[in-house]
Amino acid sequence: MNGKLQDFSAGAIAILPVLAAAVPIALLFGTLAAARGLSPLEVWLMSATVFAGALQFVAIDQWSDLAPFGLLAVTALVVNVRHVLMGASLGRSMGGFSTPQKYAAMFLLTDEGWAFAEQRVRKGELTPAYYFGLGIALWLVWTTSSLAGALIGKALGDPSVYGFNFAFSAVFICILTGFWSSWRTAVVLAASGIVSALASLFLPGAWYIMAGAVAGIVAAAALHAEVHGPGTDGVMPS
Amino acid sequence: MTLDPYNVTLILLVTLVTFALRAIGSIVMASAKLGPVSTAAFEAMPVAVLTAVAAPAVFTQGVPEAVAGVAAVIVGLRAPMFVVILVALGTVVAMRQLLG
Repeated sequence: MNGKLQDFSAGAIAILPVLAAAVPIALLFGTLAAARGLSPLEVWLMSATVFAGALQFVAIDQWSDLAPFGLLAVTALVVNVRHVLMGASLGRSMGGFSTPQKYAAMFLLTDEGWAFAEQRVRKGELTPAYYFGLGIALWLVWTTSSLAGALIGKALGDPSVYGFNFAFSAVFICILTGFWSSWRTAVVLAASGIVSALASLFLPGAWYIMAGAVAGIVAAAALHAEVHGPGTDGVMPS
Repeated sequence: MTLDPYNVTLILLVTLVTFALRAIGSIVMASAKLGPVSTAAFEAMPVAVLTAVAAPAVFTQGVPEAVAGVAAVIVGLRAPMFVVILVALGTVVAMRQLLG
């Protein structure tokens, strides 16, 4: 029990810098959502159940009274299809999770929480307690700050003045430096970064994320095949 | 504190799509056996996905963001994340002031 509590706290503490960055961003989301006509309770509900930063901003942008059900469903699909890859990658390290724990863990899946979990995997074992420490801490901060934004956001002014819209990029860069292992990392970085930056200029919506991710993954696979020769490869990830 | 049925339906629709995407990957992969090339591909996923998410925000938004991105990489190799965030935000704001 003590070990579990320790792991839970370790997760919650590890993600503290992200929590600090998430507060202004969630405040901004709450403010924008309220301006679009969502009630504070609806803003909270969206943050609590969707729990996906980028998607929530894009969805709110497309919110209207014109019943955009198809549009929103496709938007959610495009913006978050990367979660299939993330879930697939993390799923390999979730041997210690029961089935209900796995579903709960996937409900709480975010870019940030996932990146910390993958880092933990590389340093040792990922326990459910550590993962839920990450996830629940972020969930509490995200939902509370969104609600606060919906209630008092207008009084706070524009957070982009303080550069807050760049905070998550800084978080991602910081996490990426921790994943550095060899020159192969540079190849994956370059393939993914160049393709996604170019794709963001030419493709609609958030397709650039999948374009860049697939480019990086293909580069890694090609590099491996180049170095080790064509092996008997069983399953290819779809 | 009101709940509009129309808004709630839209929220739940987005929730459903998001959760389905999150669940599919972990469940499908739990039973798959991987060869060496697939394993290499999977090991590259964190870097590939995170880079794809961040690269446009860093390199296509303008000079302040690009400079702040480079600063974050340099500081990120040594300093804790909290410092990196502060340095990056400070650089963005300073560069915006500097460039008008």
